[in-house]
Amino acid sequence: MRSEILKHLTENKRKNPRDDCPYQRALDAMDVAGHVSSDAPAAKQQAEPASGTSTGSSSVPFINQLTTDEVKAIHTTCERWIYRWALPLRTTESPDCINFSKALNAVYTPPSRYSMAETLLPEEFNNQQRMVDCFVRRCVDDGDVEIGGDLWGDRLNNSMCNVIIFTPDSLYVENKVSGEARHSAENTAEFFSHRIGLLGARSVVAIVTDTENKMQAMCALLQKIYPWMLAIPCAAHCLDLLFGDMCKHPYVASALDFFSSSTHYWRPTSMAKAILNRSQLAEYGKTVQLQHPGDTRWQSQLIGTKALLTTQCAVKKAAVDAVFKSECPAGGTAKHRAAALKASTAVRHETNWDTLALFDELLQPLGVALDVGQSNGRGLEAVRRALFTFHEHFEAFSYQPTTEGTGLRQLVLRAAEKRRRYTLRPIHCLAYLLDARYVDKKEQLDTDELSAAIDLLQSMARAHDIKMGTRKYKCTADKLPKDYSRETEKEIMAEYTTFKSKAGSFLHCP
Amino acid sequence: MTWEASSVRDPLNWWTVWAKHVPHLRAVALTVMKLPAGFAAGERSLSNASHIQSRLQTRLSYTTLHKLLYMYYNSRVVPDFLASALPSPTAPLDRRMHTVELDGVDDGVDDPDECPDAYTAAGAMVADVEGGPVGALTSADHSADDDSPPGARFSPSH
Repeated sequence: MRSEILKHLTENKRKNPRDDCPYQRALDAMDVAGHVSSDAPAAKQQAEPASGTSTGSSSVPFINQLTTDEVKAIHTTCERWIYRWALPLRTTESPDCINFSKALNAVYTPPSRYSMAETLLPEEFNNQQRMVDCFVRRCVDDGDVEIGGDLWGDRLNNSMCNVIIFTPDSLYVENKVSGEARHSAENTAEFFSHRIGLLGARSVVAIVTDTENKMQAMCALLQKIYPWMLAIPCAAHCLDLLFGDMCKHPYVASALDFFSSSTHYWRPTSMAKAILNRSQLAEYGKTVQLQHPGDTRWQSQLIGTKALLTTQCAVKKAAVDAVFKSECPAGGTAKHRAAALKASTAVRHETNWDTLALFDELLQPLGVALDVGQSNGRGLEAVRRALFTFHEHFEAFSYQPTTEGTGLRQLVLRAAEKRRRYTLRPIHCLAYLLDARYVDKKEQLDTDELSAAIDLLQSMARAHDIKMGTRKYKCTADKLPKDYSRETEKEIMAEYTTFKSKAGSFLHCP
Repeated sequence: MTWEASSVRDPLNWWTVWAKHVPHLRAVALTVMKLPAGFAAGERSLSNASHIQSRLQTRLSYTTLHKLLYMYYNSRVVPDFLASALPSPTAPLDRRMHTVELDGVDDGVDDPDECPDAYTAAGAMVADVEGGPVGALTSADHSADDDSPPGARFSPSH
């Protein structure tokens, strides 16, 4: 490999004698210093001309000083690597990193963690900030942006509020640390209002937040000031809450309890895990890792359930394994013995597995929707469609023909309806209406939803005209001349009718 | 001529490329289709912050955390050629380092003349960036668009 590099560099140098590549200088310097690998002579032999005259390393000085500008340029590259990959700042101080950089260029030393944090970071941050500002400004000039925020606390217990701008790609722009003035709805609204003002109030179409009460109150406050602004609750959060509602039913809760206790026993207990792994290898030829559920991440229950169901046979066999029976229920503390007894008894009850399978089947579409919602922030039009699908699935699902089954059906349908009312806003219905994929679907909006969506369409057309007017006349909305163009508002319904009838020459425009 | 719903894949692209004879509806539809459905991006930013301020870096102040998160998160969104458009002290070295990012194709082209569009765009962006102060967004004059002054005071009575 090295011989190939040397050959390439030597040929390159012959072609471009003025090429002053630092990497080449480093390799040359290494040659002089004798840091050459065993295949280097062969490479040099290949690289040298047939006459045998040396073009060689003897003419290259041992140390080539880098200029300040060159050092700065390499520092910039190095820091971008560290910052963009969120590596610890001390990475550049590690001996291996220093050796690596020395191998590339013998006279270059990477920056220390202190200069990374105190000198280079502010400079690079400034550069990045200029780029982001410029990027956002261009997006604002070209159309609209959306804003979103969330509250959180760092490891030092600082309470913060993050601001994200959607262009539609998301950009992190700001965070605010609360001091004595807490993150109340009023304070947060004031903070957001400042950012909205800087972006241009008419350019911000919507505010997206999670479903926390404080953030919802903040949205309501902002909508009083900016009535054209839409408040969009996070669909993924809403689905997560729906998941949580359904998990509260005793029937589902018993399945989750079985799943949780089984996973908590078989996963971390070393002897039990070893026996289960042996059983899995014999059964499937591979080991299957059981998954721990998260606290409020309801989908993790579904993922964990799937993992447990996948290895059902192996768990059953492990529970009746001779070594397991002789070691686990008899050894360890009283707590361990009780857990082993409970786990081995529970896995032998087929009812538990049946309930778990039912839970998996019932909530499967919800899990898929959550996956999509969490991986891709777009798809507003798909929210209404997903709710149609859920309703259809929960209605048609074959619940057990028992009192518990009937109770579960009622609870599921009630929870789905409750969350539908909470999640669904006119903007979701409008997006559904404007999605060309759903024009022919049998599921269509009901009268109330349709009327709310059409009202919203008209008000958005009005807002669009006002925004264009303020840009044209360079004034605020209240100072617009009376005869400013209301073309969008006038034409929108006619064009909507054309769209719904699928008429017109929708020819592809190259 | 009519269109078929089954031929539509991505509604945003559909409204962008098609439907040019309904310009007003198209303008509103594009706004609607671009709206985010969830706040996963925001949650991801918090998750990234937790990753940066790891258990081994608990002394990281929130100011440094903000700067690191800002660069980590936004470098994935703002096109790379913009970053390379910043004034570079040593153009040849810098150009070599950003070849792949500039033309977007990993073909090893080292000559800027072979990707004039990227350089033209980068040049235009430099002009933009150099025109404004650092944090230009925060000092930009958007008063023409505003109906209320920045930082309107809120009180429970609103």
